[in-house]
Amino acid sequence: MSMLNIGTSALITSQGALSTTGHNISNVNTDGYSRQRVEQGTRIPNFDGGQYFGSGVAVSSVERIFDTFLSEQVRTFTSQEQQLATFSTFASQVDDLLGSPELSLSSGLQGFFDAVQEVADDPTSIPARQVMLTEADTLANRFNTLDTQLDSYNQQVNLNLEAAVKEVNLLSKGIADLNQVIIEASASTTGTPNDLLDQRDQLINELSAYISVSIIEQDNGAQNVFIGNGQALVVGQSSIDLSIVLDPTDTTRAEVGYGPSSINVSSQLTGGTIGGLLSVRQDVIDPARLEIDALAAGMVSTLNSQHTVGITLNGNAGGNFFEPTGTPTADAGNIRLAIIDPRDIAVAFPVSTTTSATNTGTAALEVNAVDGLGAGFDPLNALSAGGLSIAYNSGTGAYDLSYEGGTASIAYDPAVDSGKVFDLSALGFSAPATSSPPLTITLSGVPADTDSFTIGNSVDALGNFSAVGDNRNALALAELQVTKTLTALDPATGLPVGGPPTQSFGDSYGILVANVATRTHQADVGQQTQQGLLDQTKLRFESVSGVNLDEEAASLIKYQQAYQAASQIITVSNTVFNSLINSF
Amino acid sequence: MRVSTSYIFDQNLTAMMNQQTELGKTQLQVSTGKRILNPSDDPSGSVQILNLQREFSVTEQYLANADKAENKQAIEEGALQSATDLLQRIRELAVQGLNDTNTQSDRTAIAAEMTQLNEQLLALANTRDSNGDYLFSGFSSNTPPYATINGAYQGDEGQRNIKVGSGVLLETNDPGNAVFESKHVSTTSTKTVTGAGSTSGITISSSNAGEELTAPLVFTYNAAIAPSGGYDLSDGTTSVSIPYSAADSGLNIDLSTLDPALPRMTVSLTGAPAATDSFTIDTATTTQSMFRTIDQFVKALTADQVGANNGPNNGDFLTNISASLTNIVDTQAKVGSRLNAIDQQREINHGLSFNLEKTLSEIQDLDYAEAISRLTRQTTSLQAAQQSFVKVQGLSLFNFL
Repeated sequence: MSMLNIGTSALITSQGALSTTGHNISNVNTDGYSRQRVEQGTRIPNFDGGQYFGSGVAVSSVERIFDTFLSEQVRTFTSQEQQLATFSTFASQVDDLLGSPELSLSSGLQGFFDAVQEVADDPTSIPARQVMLTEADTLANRFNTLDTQLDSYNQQVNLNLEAAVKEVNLLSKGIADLNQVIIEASASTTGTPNDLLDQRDQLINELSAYISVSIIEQDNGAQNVFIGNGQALVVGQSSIDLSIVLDPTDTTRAEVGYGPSSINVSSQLTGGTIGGLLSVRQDVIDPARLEIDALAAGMVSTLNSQHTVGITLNGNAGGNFFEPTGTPTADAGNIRLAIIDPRDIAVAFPVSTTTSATNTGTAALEVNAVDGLGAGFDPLNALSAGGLSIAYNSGTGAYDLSYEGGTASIAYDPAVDSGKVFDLSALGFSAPATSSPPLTITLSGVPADTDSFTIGNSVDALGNFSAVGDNRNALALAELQVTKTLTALDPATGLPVGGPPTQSFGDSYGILVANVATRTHQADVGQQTQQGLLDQTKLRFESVSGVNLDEEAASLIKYQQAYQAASQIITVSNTVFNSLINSF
Repeated sequence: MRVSTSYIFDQNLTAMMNQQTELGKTQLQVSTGKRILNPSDDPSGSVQILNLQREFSVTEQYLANADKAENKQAIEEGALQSATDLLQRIRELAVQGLNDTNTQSDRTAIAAEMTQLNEQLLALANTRDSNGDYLFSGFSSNTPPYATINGAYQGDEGQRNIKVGSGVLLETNDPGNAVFESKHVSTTSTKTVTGAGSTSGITISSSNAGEELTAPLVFTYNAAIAPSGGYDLSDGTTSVSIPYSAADSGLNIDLSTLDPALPRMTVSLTGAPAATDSFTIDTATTTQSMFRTIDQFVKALTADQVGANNGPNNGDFLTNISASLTNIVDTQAKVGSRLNAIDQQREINHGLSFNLEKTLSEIQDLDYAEAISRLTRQTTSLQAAQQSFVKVQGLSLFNFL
């Protein structure tokens, strides 16, 4: 009887082992599946006749081959890898955008300033002026397009955040549900619900691709999931939802809200898709927008302040070249050309110099710059009525200046001062003069006593203007290409740092490209490193938990043979029984 | 270490995909010829490229500017050369017109030709460039510099600069008043004091150089000069005595033979001097246009006011025309030196642009030899991966069950 029992126990155990092997084979491609193994043990022996007789085999447990430490490592690296992968995807889009020759501001600026030089070469040429307007328009459009593109990346970040949050909520709900089932399943038996545990681990793994999580195992078998600074996502059988909230200061920015009152927890979240989205927005998209806006604003104000100094082809005051100039302030999104008529480009300086016909020396005077930054500067009346007269006095070795009825003088020694630049706006003129001429001039040559110059407005009191071939303001505009007019932005505040300007327009764009490229490059390299780590950890994890078909084939043979042998026990038991029964 | 069947499958697949990505990138590099496809491929290199491209493009613009500047200078040089030719012919005619052997009809004919030439000269001064801008009116490109022969300069002093290099501005025009206007010398003699019964006179029969006098020459009658009176001549520093009496009327004296310090001027003394007689010879220097100078000469020719007996300013005419010519030639020299400067700057810019292009190419262009060998290597390893994948995946114990 006991032999039949032993045979039966062996048959049942082998069947169990065979079916577990079959389970392993059938789940070879199931994500998150850990191979299972039937642990066998001898049954309680029978005590008979002072001896213990073995009573066969029984399944002691069905084990899940699983390493908690490796599983946790896989989760950690998944979060980090996914964060960098998301970052890299978005950053390389910005990188592509800034580097593409069709959209690059670098070539836009170049085209514009080349056109300015063409106008300086031929100030009266309407076609050259038209080209300058077209190039300026193209430049403004490039700013607009960049802004639109960066804005669309921002919206993509918002959409992706929303999708990620939805997914996180589904996953945490799934984990909570599984917790419930696992608690119930574990309570009623000593065995572990291996497949349910696998499913839960798989969900947690998937969750870690969206956000960094930490797990705390409970005694009842439930796992609590925490994110950020300890915000619970899953507690036992219940889950807490994340949501999307809009930044109250900028409603175009989505942030991650937590719990029923949707507290903004964005700043505390790291890892995974959500961490990647938040960090790429903060480190790449936001700074790029700030830089481009600052560049646009700087260009509008710098070009306008030079352009408004000048006189147009028709003899009118040069207006603004780019808009807008007031509220809203200029940025990459709203910058546009303010001029339609090519004749309205102010290419001439508002003042002209006359050398006295009776000069006998070799002295020359050149107006370098007109300072139009004073409040209410009017290029039609750049100088007060009467203009400025300058006469050399060899007795004092100085030029005597007379303006608005007042006088001032500049010491000039031809031997050392020839070619020197003088800022007249810094000179104090005696009463009744109330201001100084807003000019910077160069004096050169050797003046004779009483040699004189007068500087007057290019547009006379009757509004007549003849100096249409004057290209000095165009040269000044063209010079702005290489002049350092912008200060660097503080990466923390996004506001310009103090001190003198250190960047030209092109420099500023170059720095932006370099920053984005460096960040993208870093993210690429970091992502590859994390990918490598993740692959290695997964390999180790899989080498513990993964199904190997050859191994399972061998197990199949092994358990099949055991089953066949157990059958023979039954047969033998039958034969023994038959021999016994037939003896009667 | 045991391996998981599905994971090995996945990993092999991922490895092949990565190799395909790398291969695709190399292929893109080969087909574009660029080493850097995105700025992130080489952040510092790509910023260098941006800067180099900017430099390169700026230099190309300087070269284009230099062409324009050269073009403008060439037009100006052409106009100035024609003006020089015209002025030389005018001076020849003037010399011819001053010749005593001319009849009045000869002079009228010469005057007619000179007027013609003067008109041509005026037209040259009003030359326009290809844009229709007046070349010689400064910034007032739409205003003709000289409306008429005797008209004043209507332009301004503006000199348009063109940028032909970093920090190198070159003037591309000369205002008309600096080109066509020059110092105009007219020497005149006046009788400042006339004594009782005086019939004396003085004329400048030839002022060889038409020199500008540094100080007026003062002739004062002095009866004490032996043998029968004469003039004391002083220019303030040098004093000489010239014996003269009514009998000497028509006496020509070259002043420089009296004292080398005196100007080379021949004066003709006439009539009977009286006590207290005094003459002054002085030059007045003004600036006027060459058209006006020539026109004045033409008028003098037509009115028969030149020649030995009635040409007080014969020398001045030639001097003034010569001064105009010198002025034009000086301007031509300026234009020539600017053309030289343009050429030199162009050489510099060509060199710079060559170097920039070379550096740019070193940074952004692909090393084809390296890229092709990389492409071959990547293709080979992808093929190997594919073949071994198929082989390894065929291995299974189940095949033998």
